[in-house]
Amino acid sequence: MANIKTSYRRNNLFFSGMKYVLLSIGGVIMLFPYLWMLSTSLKVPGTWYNLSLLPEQISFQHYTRLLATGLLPGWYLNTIIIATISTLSVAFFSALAGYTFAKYKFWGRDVMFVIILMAIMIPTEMLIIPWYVSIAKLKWIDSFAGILMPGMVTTFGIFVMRQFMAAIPNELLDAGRIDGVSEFGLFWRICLPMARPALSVVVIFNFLGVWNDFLWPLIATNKEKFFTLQVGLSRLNSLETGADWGGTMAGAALASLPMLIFFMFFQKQIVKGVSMSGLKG
Amino acid sequence: MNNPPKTNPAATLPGSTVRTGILSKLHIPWAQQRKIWAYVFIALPFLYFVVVNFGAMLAAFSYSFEKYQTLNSSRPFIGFANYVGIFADPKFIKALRNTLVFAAIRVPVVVVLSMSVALLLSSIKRFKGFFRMLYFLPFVTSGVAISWVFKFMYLPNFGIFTTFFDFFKIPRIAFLDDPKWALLAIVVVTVWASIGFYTLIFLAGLEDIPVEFYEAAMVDGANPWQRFWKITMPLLNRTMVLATVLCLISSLQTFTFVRMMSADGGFGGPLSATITLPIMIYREAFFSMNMGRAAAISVVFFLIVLTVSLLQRKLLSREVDY
Repeated sequence: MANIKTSYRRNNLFFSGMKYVLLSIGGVIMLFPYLWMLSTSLKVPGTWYNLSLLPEQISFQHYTRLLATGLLPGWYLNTIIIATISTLSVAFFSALAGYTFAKYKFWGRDVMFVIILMAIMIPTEMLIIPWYVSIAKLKWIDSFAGILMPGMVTTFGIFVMRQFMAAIPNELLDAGRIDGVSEFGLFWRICLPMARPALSVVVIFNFLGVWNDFLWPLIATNKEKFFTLQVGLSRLNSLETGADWGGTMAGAALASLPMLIFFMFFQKQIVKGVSMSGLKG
Repeated sequence: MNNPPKTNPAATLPGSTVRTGILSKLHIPWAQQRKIWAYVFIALPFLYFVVVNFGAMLAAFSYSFEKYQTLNSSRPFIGFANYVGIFADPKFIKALRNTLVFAAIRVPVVVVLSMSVALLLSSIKRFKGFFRMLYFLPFVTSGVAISWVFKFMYLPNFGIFTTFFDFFKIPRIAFLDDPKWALLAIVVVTVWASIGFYTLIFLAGLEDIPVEFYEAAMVDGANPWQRFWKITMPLLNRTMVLATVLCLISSLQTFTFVRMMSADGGFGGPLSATITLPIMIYREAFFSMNMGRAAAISVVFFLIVLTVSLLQRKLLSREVDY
């Protein structure tokens, strides 16, 4: 009897050990490209094909060159400006629309909401053509306005905000009305502060999305000066002479590091946002 | 904020209040005022949304019936000529095929792998958060950066993967430069990059399964294997449909990785081995300057994505009853 019990326990231990082994193998596969990127970015030119994870000689020359002489600081600035403006707009209008959908009854409300949800079925690959035609007409190519044009309000933002706003009790709004708060005041001073958890998910998700966006900024810009970080990064190797892998890897590290740090801080909201994007289905 | 005048008759109505705003001065009933405000709030975001998405969609439809070249100012209506043209173009057929093959390989691999990772994660006690974070890292990393790193690792002769193949005595392949392997090489990268996202979707689905079910099954003496097949799998069905559809749509729409990694400067090489519909739309519109043709391809692409989305609606609209 005791024998069976210990063998069962040993078996259990073996299985849970196997789980960690499997997850660790997966973890190494996930982590390795990052280590390889960092390692290569620190190697001196010509030693990129020495396949050791530790550089023989650590050098920050690629980083200093990219940051001091290249266009990279400008691309950083462009990206930060665009991500900030877009995120402010998305946060405000998504919250306002979400609040209105959740807290008012008016003719056409549900149809409007369904229309907004339906927009996610239209692939961006189709919309870029008319978007490009219209920003070309407006002379917005190579401008922040052009890059920002399609993304000032998002389905995801409205959806998340509506979900959250619906949970705010109506009595609270009525109490505000009795105190003479204006309808906009009810949104701005009561609902918006209460919706901060949902708002932070929308803000963080949007900032992340704009930072990493590639297709539209690629089309909306031609001049290097107006590139976003990702568009600039995509041209890094061809802008240089020959295959400068150290420089390219340093660029990739510089472009992804801010968001990796961002992720460490806002992991909770990002995880929440992912499960919300699942909810939408 | 406002001091309501005591004489206002609206003040006597239950559940209502008094304003001194413009609308009140116009003697608009209070319930109407609220509706007006609702339209004021929703108008700008909604109109913007409709123009940017649906307006643009209609524009794309209409371009697809025109001989619309960027450098040419006249845009004559040519009916279905663009559509006839693309279906006669072997490159389009190849792109259509590649797009579907890409999705057909990627979706099952991603779903099975991420579900396995989620099941493993949900069954361990320590380091759960750490592993979850590790698998999720690529989600916050840009496709461009990921593509560069893998492109470097895929280098024939010098790349780390070649060394790896040599070590295990596997015959060398040229990865992205070999028409036979290039598409698969890109699929591998997109799988690596998206496992974490779908793992989270599955973890959320697993959390929704009531613990009581497992407890009851254990009381009845069900072994882990039975618990998995009789409880976890049936109740994870909905999550699997969701993950499959999300992954299918994102596979069809893959642009960045192909643009960054395909061999002939990002246009779907070598020998059109990796050309996909998004890449072809991009090339026709912005390099061949043929907007009409690009729009026609995008309409076909849209119809494919739409079919998948509608299928999802149908599959997920069935009520679940726990």
